[in-house]
Amino acid sequence: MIIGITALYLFLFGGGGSLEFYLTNLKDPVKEYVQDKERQDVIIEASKALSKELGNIQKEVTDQFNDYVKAHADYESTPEDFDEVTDEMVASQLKLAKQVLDARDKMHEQMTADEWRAVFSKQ
Amino acid sequence: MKTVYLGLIATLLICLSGCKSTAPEAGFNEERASETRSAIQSSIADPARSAQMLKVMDQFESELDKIEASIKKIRADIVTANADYATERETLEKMYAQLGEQVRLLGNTFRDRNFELRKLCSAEEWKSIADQDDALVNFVF
Repeated sequence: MIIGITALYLFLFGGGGSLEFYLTNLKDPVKEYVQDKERQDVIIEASKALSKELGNIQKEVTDQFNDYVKAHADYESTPEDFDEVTDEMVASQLKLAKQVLDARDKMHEQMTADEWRAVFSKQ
Repeated sequence: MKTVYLGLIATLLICLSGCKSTAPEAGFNEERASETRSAIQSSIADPARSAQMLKVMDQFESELDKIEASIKKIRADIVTANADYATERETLEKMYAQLGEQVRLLGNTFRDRNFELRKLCSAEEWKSIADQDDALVNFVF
């Protein structure tokens, strides 16, 4: 039972095929398609900062998942124990979305439409 | 033991979202879920209750399949929308809100099926099943 939800939480909070994944793996296409080094540096810096922020959220989510495991295993736990963890997970997901979209906005400001298309067509 | 697998979960999460240049697949692991069925069968001696619990697992797995399909579609829609330079932040915010709904749906599904299963067994039986679940998490990571 735990196994089934583990995989889906991994999927919900980022991974292959997600925007988060692509925004934190931009270095090579940005160097190839963004014309000047100054803009490249700003974009790559935003990508690195996002990676760090996502790492912090992932630690949060790991702790929350641990609370799910405890509630699952405890025969005496209540529905409220589960709901409390779910509320925290939803809050973490909202935080993740804000950080991802803030990073995307910073990158967007630094790229032309053609550069953007070239960078993301590689993914 | 829990510390070990939590550390491994964290590592996997980090690698999935930020370390590699290729896109690994993620999703519901049906093969592993079938081992949870084995845990029920080995822990519940009464065939009638065991069958009832397996029926709950059928429902749980069917619900997880639907949630997984929704997540995959939303994720793909986000990536497609992002690739378009003209896509506005509000559009992506709505898509991420849909993912948030899936987080809640997944939590509620897990809670509801957990209590359905618990009603069908004793504390000792539940401990046996949960312990085997715990061991499976360690094995997978």
